[in-house]
Amino acid sequence: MADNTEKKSDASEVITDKAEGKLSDLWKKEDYWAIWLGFVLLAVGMVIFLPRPPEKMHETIAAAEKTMQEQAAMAPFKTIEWHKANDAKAKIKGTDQSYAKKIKTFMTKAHGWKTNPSNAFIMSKEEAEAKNVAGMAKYEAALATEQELLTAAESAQVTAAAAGFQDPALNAAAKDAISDWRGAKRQASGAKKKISAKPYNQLPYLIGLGIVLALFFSIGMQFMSGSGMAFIKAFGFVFVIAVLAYVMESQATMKEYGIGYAAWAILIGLIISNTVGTPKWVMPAVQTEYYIKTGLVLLGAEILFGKILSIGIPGIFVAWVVTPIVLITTFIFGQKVLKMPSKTLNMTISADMSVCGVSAAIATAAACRAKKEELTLAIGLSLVFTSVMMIIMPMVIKATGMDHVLGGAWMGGTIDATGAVAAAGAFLSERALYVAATIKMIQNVLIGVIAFGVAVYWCAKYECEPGQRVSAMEIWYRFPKFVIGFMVASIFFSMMYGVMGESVGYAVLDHGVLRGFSRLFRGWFFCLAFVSIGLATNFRELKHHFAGGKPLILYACGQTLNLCLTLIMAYIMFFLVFPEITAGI
Amino acid sequence: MTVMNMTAKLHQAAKTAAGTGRPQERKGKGWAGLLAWLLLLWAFVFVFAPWLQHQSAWIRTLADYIDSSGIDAGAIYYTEVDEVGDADLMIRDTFRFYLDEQE
Repeated sequence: MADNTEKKSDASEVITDKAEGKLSDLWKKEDYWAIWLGFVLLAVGMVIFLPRPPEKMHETIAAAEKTMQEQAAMAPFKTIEWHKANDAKAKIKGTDQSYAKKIKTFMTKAHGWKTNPSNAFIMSKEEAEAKNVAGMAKYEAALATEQELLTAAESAQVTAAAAGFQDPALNAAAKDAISDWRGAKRQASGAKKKISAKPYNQLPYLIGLGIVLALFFSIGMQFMSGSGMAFIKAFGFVFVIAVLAYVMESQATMKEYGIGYAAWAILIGLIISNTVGTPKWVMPAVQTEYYIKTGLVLLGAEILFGKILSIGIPGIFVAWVVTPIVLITTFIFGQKVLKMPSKTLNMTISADMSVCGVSAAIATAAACRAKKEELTLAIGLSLVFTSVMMIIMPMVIKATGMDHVLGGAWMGGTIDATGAVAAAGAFLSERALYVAATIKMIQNVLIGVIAFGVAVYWCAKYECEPGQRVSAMEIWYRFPKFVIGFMVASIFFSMMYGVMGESVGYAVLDHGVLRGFSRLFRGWFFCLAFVSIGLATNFRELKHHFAGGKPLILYACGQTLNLCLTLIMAYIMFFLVFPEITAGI
Repeated sequence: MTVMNMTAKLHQAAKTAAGTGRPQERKGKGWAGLLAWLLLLWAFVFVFAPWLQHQSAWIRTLADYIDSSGIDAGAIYYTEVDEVGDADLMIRDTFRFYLDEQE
């Protein structure tokens, strides 16, 4: 792919670095610009969020933890009071502060809509009121159910307490009743959002955001190629398609299927480029690698290594032992058995199938310098399988009566997209959601290691002639430099998270700088990259990469292995080795 | 017309648009192709996808759940899903106050 001997015709399609380094690379190459721009955004995020923690953060956290400590000492299961204290702690978030809400309003992509697309941008006072009235009956029903189940949970807990929490049957009954109440509470909370609609007009914000992003990226374009003005003129077109992708993602039925902006951005771009054609004046803003690399540097900050211990050793085995085994086995299977014509396509599909779908595909494709058509194929396969697995896996778990901790771990380790994992898990139960979401989160963190490993491996092994030994300096020259920014951001934010401690880190870093600022930009950058991929891709090139259906066979075989190994490992860990963890969740 | 046939025709239209022919003719076919694709997308979003949901009670129930809970099922990373943050905090506190205490 990025071989220095590669033909010129492929050079425009891949990320290429010559095997030499110059000081001017620091302001002439997009890898470095991705790092500078990413770091600037992260620094701005820290300046905004870190000096303004939520009011009474330490006091609220201390009070909540004191209650949880007392309740844990009293009962062998999580009591109603324990859950309420945990909820109070979870409400302490930087993202709930007024300044964070203003940032979110400015960065909002598109609002939800069902049949009228204009609601993605504008909603009048009358429409908002009508929406609230329409959702009221459902909310009242959900609230009544929650209240009813809370009463039942309180009664079960009182009964268990009367026996001094010494009767296992009464304790189990109370635990189940509390779990039912938690599920109903989540539903009521969702229904409340449906009656909280307010009038909005997103258009001025979107125009403002478009201008900000155009200026932001044009700085690098001006330094790299002197095409800053041409970029600004063209950027509007790419940005409008990115907005359209978000509008499609926000449509009610598409949300229910989990069809996100990635699919829409690529598809709309593809349709334009393959029908009326991408206008030539737009091409200066069709900068796939520039957007992806900047987005990946921001993604690096979201890779917090402290998270991998969230669910203890079982989580490590399910997410960090099975996943690399599946990745490597699938890659070898693709090379040796299927004889995939492209190693980079093989690696991108293997990574997106085994790790975490779209985000892993982006990181791996950039690390091994896969072609844009290969990334498109990998993402397409992942999205289709994710939608299908999100529907089928909870059905299988329910039909077989599988324990929800086991089922949650199984889904978390195998369904690609995090959103689909959360939806499938929550649909089953709170326990399934907790385990599925946590396992997926741990697996998400793995992409930092995978991207770094793939980048090093590709430089040292695949980008050299057979039998050639590559020196350390040569590896450095060939190494995709943005990965350094990606890793530095990850290590820096992981250390900050560790120093702050879990509770404060959760409030001001995870739910502050990251969720409240950098990930909003990162989402837009990835969307712009996907639009660029679509606008620069020809259907025929895609068809060529799909030759013989090998990518589909690779994905299906790899996913089958993943399903089997994850289920076996989850069973061994959660039922044979650590049953006390399963009982405690 | 089946979806496959329609897709094949759209590909053909796109091929023709990119191929040789009079510029005016190519332009016309390109716009026709775009229109056909938009029609296909509209049919997928407003006809096929809702129809499929009504073919299975399971899919309908899951879709209703996703709609009412507000979970972003299309999110690609954990920081985009509020429920993952809640789950992380809950699991960590479960370990801290119950499971680690037992060791």
